[in-house]
Amino acid sequence: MELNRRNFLKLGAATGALAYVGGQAVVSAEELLKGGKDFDKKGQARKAIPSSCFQCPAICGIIAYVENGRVVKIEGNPAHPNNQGTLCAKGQAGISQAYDAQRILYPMVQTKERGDKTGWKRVSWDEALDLVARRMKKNIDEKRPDKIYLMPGRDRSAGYLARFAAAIGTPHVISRSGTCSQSKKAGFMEAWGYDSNWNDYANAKVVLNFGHGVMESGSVFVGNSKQAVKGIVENGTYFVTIDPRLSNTAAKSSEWVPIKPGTDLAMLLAMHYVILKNNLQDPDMAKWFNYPLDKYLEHLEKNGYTPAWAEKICGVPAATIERLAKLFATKKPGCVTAYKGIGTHTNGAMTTKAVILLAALVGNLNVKGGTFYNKTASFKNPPAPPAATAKKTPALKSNPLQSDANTTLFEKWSEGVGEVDMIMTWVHNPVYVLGNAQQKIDILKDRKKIPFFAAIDLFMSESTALADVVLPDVSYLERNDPESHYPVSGKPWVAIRQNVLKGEKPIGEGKEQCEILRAIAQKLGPEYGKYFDISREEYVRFSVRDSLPGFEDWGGYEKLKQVGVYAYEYPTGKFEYDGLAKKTVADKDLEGTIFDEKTGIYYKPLKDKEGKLIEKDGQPQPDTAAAVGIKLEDGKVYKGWNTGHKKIGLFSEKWEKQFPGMGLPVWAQSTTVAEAKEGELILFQYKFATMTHSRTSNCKWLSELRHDNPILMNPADARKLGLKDGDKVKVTSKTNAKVFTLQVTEGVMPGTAGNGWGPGHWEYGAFATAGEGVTAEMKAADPDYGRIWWKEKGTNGNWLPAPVTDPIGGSQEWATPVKIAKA
Amino acid sequence: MSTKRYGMVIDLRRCVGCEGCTVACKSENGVPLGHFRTWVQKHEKGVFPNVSMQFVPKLCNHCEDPACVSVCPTGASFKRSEDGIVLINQDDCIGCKYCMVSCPYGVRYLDESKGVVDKCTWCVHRVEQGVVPSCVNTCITGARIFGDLNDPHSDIAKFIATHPVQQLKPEAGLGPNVYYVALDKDFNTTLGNR
Amino acid sequence: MSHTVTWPVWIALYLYLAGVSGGAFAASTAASFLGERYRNVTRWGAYIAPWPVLIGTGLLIFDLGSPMKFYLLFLKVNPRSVMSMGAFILSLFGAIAVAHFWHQLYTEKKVKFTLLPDSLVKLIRFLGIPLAVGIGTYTGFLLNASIAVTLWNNGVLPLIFLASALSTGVAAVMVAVALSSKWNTVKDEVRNLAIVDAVLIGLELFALAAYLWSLHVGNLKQQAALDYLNLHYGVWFWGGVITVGLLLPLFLKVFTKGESAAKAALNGTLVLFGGLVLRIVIVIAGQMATPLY
Repeated sequence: MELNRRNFLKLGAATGALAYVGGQAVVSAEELLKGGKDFDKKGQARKAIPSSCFQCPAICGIIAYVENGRVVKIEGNPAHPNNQGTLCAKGQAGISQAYDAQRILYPMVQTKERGDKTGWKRVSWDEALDLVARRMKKNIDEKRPDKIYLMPGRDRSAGYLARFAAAIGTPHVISRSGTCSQSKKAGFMEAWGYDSNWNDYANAKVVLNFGHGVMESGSVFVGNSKQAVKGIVENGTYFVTIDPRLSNTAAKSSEWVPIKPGTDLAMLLAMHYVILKNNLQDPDMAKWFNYPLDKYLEHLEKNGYTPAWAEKICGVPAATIERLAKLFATKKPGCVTAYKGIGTHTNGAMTTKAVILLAALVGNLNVKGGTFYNKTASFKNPPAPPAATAKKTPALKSNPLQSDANTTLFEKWSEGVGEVDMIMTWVHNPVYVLGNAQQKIDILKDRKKIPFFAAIDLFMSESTALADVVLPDVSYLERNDPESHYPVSGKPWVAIRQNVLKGEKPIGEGKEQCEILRAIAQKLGPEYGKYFDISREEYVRFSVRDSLPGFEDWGGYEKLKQVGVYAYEYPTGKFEYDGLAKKTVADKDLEGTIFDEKTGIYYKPLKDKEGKLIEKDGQPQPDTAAAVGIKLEDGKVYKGWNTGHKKIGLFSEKWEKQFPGMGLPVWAQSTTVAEAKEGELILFQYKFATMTHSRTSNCKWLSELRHDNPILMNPADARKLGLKDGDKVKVTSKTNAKVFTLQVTEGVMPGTAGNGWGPGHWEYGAFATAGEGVTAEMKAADPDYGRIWWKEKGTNGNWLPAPVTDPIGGSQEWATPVKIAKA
Repeated sequence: MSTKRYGMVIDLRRCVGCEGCTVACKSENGVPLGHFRTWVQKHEKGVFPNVSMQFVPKLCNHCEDPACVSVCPTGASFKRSEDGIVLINQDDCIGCKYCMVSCPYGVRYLDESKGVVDKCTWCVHRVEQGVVPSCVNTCITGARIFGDLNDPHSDIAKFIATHPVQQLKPEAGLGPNVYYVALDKDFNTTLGNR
Repeated sequence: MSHTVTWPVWIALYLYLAGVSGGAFAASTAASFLGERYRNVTRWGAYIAPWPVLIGTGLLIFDLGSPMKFYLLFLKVNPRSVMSMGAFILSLFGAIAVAHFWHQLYTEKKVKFTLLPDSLVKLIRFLGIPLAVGIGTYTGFLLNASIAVTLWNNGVLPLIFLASALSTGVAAVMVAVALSSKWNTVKDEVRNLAIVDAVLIGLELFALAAYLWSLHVGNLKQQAALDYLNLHYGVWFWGGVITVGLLLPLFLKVFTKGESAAKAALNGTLVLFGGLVLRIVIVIAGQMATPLY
C-alpha cells in the first residue's frame, strides 16, 4: 500500500485522536504524531502495510514497514481497538520469523533415521506433495481416513483446515489447547455458556486475578494492560493478584496474595461461603442460578468450606480470604479473571467454573466495570465438503466430557489405543509444549507407532526435526488470513493478515499453509480439489464479507487491506453486553416460538436449510440451539444467559453424570500436588512477557533479553536446601531429572518453585540455543549471528511433568512435585 | 520560532515491564546484539510476603550539560542547539570511549562493527519528520511521554507542571531531561541493585 | 554497561608508562642543573624518558575503536576535554623528550648533530619539571573528569598519580644508574636518588591516605566504592601497591643499613612494580565498582 497523503491521514488520524491512554491533554497542533509512519535514517518515508501479528494469540493489529523489498520494522496499527498503535516486544521482534537465516527454505525428506541431522535431503515441491498425498490417499482408499491425524498448534485458518479435514474424511483435528486453556474453557462454558471472558478493567473498582498474567502474557496483554493500568492509575481500581509468584502483574497490583499452586479452588469455595453466609450476594442474581442458592450454602457448610479450612490447603490467611470476598461483594463493579495458571491442574475446570460463579454471585457479569463477553466477527466459508464420515476414535480422550484429545493422545497411542498411520503437524511442537517431553520424542521417533510424519513448519523445531517430510511454511508476514479475536476494548473487530512482501522476491520456496493444503487436495484428485478451487486471498475476501455490522458500508475487503482493521462500535457505546441476559423479551418476539414447559425456555421452531419447518407428528419442533427467552418464577420472560439452560450453571448435569458428586462445586485436590513428599517443592510454570511457549525463541532480540529460565526459589527454601542464587541445581520429578540455574527471590511462595516457559531449546536455531551451529554464511546474512554473547540457553521445564490431565476439562496438570539439590 | 527543548517523562505507575521499548529501539535503529540504547530494570525489594517490584526503563537523558560532550576530545559528541538532542557525529568519533566512562547513566556503547561510539538519538530521524521516537510509539500503556519542554502548552510540559517528577542521579549535576513519575527512591541510588 | 571494563588494562599501562617517562625526564633535567656530580642521572634519565610514553601512546592508539582516525585528536580541539588538551601536552612532551634524548647523545659525542640549538637547551631543561608535572597530573585529571566512576572522581587522584609518576620515574633512573657502572662511581648519585624517591613515596602514601579517607567519610556511593575495592582488589591494593610498592622500599631505605647496586635495583624495582599495580587497580577496579546502570 502506498503511503500517500490520504492513507497517511487515515492511519495518522486515528492516532491523532487518541491521546495516550490516561493522558490528560488534548493533542495540540505542535505535538508529534504517535505512530502510523516510519522513516529511514535519511528521512525518507517507509512503505506501510497493515497486517495482523501472529507471535501470540492476541492478534494485535500491526503495520509492517517495507524498504527495498524487506520488512525493516513492525509497529502497532493505530486503527486497532485492542493495541491502539502500540506493540509488545514479541510483536516488534517478529521480523526474525521472516529473516531467520536458518528458516526452512525448501521441502525436505528424511532419508535416514528420524532425527538424524545428516539425513535431510532437499526435494521438489512436487515430490514432497506426492509423498504426503499418496500416503493420505492410501488411507482414504482403505476406507480408514481416521488413521490420519491433523495436528495444528494454532489454526487461525478461518475454517480452511476444517474444510481440508472434511474433504479427506478424517475426524481427527487435534489442537494443543490442553497445555493452556482447555480446562479453563470447560469451566467457563459450564458456568455462563462462554468459553472466555473479557474485563472492563478501566472501570472496575475491584479486580480479583487468579493467577492470570493480565499485564504480561496471555491473550491481548497489550490491550488488557492499557485498561488495567488506566483503572489502577486513574480510577483507583483495587487490583488483587493471587499467584504463587510475584509476577509482573502482581508487581503492578494493589495487593499480591501468594497461594499454593492448584489450590485456588479452596479459596474460591471459601469465598462463595463467605458471600452466601453473610448474605452479600446480589439479590437480583439469585433467580438466575440453576440450583437454589440456599441449598448451595447448605452444601458449602456441610463440606466445611470455610476460610479457616481453605487456609490450611492454599496457604492464604483466612482473614485475607474473608476480607477479599467481602470486598468483592460490596465494592462494585468488579472483575474476575483466570487462565492457564489455575486451569492447568486436575481440578482446573472445577476451579475456573468457580471463578465465574464468584462474579455471578455478586452480579459482576455483563455490567460496565465487570466481566463481560462480546462476540467476535463471524466469517463465512465458501461451500464446503460434507462433514467427515469417519468417527473419532472414542477412547483417545479419557472421557466424553473433554473437548479435545491433545493431552491424552500420546498416552493412548503408547497404550495401543487408536490406530495411526500418518500425522501432519502445523505450527505445532508437541515435543516441546506437551508435558513429559521424553515420551513424545520416543513415540514420534518410532516408525512402528507413527508410520508417517509430515510437518508443515518454518523452522526445524524439536518436533519437526523428527519428521519424515518437511513442507516449508512462510512467516505470518507472508500469509493471508481473515482475523477476529478477543474484543478486550469492548469493540468487536475484523482484521486482515496479508502478505506484506507481495510482489517482492520471495525469501524461499515456502508456501502458506492453506496453499499447501490446497496443493495436497489437488494432488489427491479433482473430487477433493474442487473444494479448493479458489486462492487463499479469494477465500479471505469471501470470509470477511458482512462479518460485522457496517463493514461493507465502511469499504469492506478492499478498505480492510489498506487500513488493516475495522472495529464496530455499538450504538449504545463501547459494550454490547450491558445487562444483556437480564433484558426482558417483548411479546411480539415470542410469536411463533415453542415453549418448553419443563425448562421454561422459548425456542425458535426448527427449520431446514431452505427455511421450511421440520415437523414431528404435525407439530413444529423446538430448535434447542436457538432459544429466544426464558420465563422465570416471577412470570417475566428474559433473554437469559448463553448456557443451554439459559441460567448460570451452578450445577453441571453433564459433570454429575460422568463423575457423580462433581455436579456442584466441590473441593478436589490436584492429584500431583497431593503426591508431594516431605522436602519436595511444587514446581509451577509461568510465562515471560517477552516470550511465548516455544516459537519465539528464534527471535534474536527476545532471546537476547531472556535466554535462561532459572528456577525461582524463596530464600527460606534455599537456606533449608543449602543452595544459593546462581547455583546449578538438579530438579528431579517422578518423570525425569534436569539441570537448571537457580534464582533465589523473595517474590515466590515458600514450598513452591517457578519455571518460566520459552528457553530450553535444543533445536530452533542459533539464537534459541546460545549460538549452536553458527556458520560464516549465517553471519554474512546477519552479522548478529556473530554477536551471540550469551552462554546460557535454559532448560525446558516440560521434561518434568507427568502425563496427568484434568479428567473434566482435559488440560495438562503442570504442577509437579520436585526434589531440588545442587547439581 | 523559539528553540525547542525535547524531554521525556516515564510514568512508572504505568510501566508493566513488557520490554517492548527495548526491542522497538533495537529494530528501529539496527542496534547490534550485545548493546542496548534503552532497557528496563527490574528492582525488587522487601521480604516475603511483603515484596514489591518496580520496572524502570532507562535511556540516554540528553542532559542539559552532558558529560559526554564536555569530555569528547574531537567534539564528535555534541548537543543540538535547535532542540537539545545529544548526538554523535560518527565521522569525527575516534572511539576513544572517554564518553563511555564519563556517562553516569551508562547509556553509550562502542559499535565494534563501525569502530565508533553510539547511543540513543531520540530517533531524531523520526522526530524531524514529526513522529515520536519508537520507544514512545510502542509503549503499550502510554508510560512514555515525549515533547517540547519549552512549550508550556505541550502535553509533557503540562504533565510536569501537574505531577511530582524525579530524575535519575540528579546529584551528578548534568541536568537530565528524562523525568520519572513515582520513582522509588531506594532505586535511585548508585549502590547497585538487582 | 555496568560492572564491565570499557577502558582495558592497556589504558592503565599507558597511564603508568607516561608517568614513568615524566618522572625520568624530570629527574634528568633537574640533575642537569646540578652539574657533573649527577651526570649519570642526567644521562640515564634522558635515555629512558622518551620510550615508555611512546610505547604507551602506541597502546592508546591500538585501543581506539578507530585507530586510523587518531590524527583527529590534533585537528579538533575541545578545551573542556582533558583528553583533547592531553593529546597536545603529550605530543609536546614526547617531542621534547626525544629532542632531549638526542641532545644527550650529542653531548656524549655519540651523534654528530643536535636537534636543539644552545639557546633552547636551557629552556627545555627549565620547562622539564613543569612538563613532567603536567604529564603526571594530566593522567590523574583524565580520570578525575569522569563523574561516573567514583574511584576516579576524586580530587586527590591527580596528586597520587603525580607522586607515583615522579617516584616511578626516579626509580627507573635509579635502577639504570645503579646497574650502569661500577658501584663506587655511582653510589652517591644512587643514594641521593633513593632519598628523593623516599620523599616521593612519603608524599604518595600521604596522598593515598587522603584518598582512602575521603572515600571512607564520603557519601554512600563513595563508601560502597571503597568497600568494593577492599573486597575484590584488597590483596592487590594493600599487598601490591601499599606494602610491596611503597612501604617495603621505604623500609629498606630508612631502616636498613648497607648500600649496594643490588639493593638499589631491588628498591627501584619494587617501586616500579607498585606503580604499575596502582594504575591497574585504579583503572580496573574503578570501572568494576560502578554499579548497575
